[in-house]
Amino acid sequence: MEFIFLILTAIVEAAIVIPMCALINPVVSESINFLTITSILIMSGLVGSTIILCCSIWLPTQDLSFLVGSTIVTISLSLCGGFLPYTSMPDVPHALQWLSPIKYSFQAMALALLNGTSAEKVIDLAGYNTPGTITENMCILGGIFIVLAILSAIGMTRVKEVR
Amino acid sequence: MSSYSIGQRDDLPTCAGHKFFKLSILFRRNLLNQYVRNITNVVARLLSYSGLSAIIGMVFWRVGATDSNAGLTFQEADILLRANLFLMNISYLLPFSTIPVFYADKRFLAAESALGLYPKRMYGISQVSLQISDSMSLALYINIFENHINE
Repeated sequence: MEFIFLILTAIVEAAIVIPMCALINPVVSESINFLTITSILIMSGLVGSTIILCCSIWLPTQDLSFLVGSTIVTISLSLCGGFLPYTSMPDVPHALQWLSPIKYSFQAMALALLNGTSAEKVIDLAGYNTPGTITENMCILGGIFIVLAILSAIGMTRVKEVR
Repeated sequence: MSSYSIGQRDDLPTCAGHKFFKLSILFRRNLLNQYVRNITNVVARLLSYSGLSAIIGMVFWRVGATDSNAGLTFQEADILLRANLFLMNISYLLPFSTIPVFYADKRFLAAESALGLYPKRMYGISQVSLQISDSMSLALYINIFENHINE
């Protein structure tokens, strides 16, 4: 159900942000550009939402879910490469970057916007090319999503009524 | 007891049609509880997404546009990626607003499954299956798009 809502929000988000920020890859047509960015936003929202669902199912209180969920997302954000390019990261965060789902969303978006353009080299310079295609990034994101979804489903089978 | 009763115990033999019926009841119940009857939450979330998108649009106004025939410079591309980073913030942080909805639903699941109205795994399937199938179709679309670019 949440997926339908996430599609709606991603479309609204893309419809506002793409023209305002000119998030356009001149190599592809506008419609394909819009659909790609929207798809990446939907997938990102889906993974973000499933992290929260998983926390909500497994943890006993809302406070704990918020605490654990926000910790996971904050760490993932710091490791996503947007604040500091991977090529400038120290060894330990560089090794941990692979665990961050936001890394794959960020890289997919960077590739969608810059692939084939004059600024394409930024992708190589900042290390946003591991994995180097949008499909690979989306597949990894999909894999993370499926693992989280299965964990949530297992958690649901363990829910007990507390009186 | 009618063959379509949702109060039937999980351990009793059931036909596939009956299970599908229970599943569809769960889908409809979730849709009603989480969205149709919770319209204030839905509208507030939509407004929040729209407002934040508009603010990002204002802050990073036309950062991806350039007058140069050579395209974006590295510095301009770097600013474009910062706008991208803020979009990621929206995607990963705003779902936190659904925590109360998930907890309310978890209470329903606990109470209803204790009464034996439906198996817990069916609830899990109803919540997860749609999302998985749709994420697969998105991945397929992206693959087609990338092949189109590479041609």
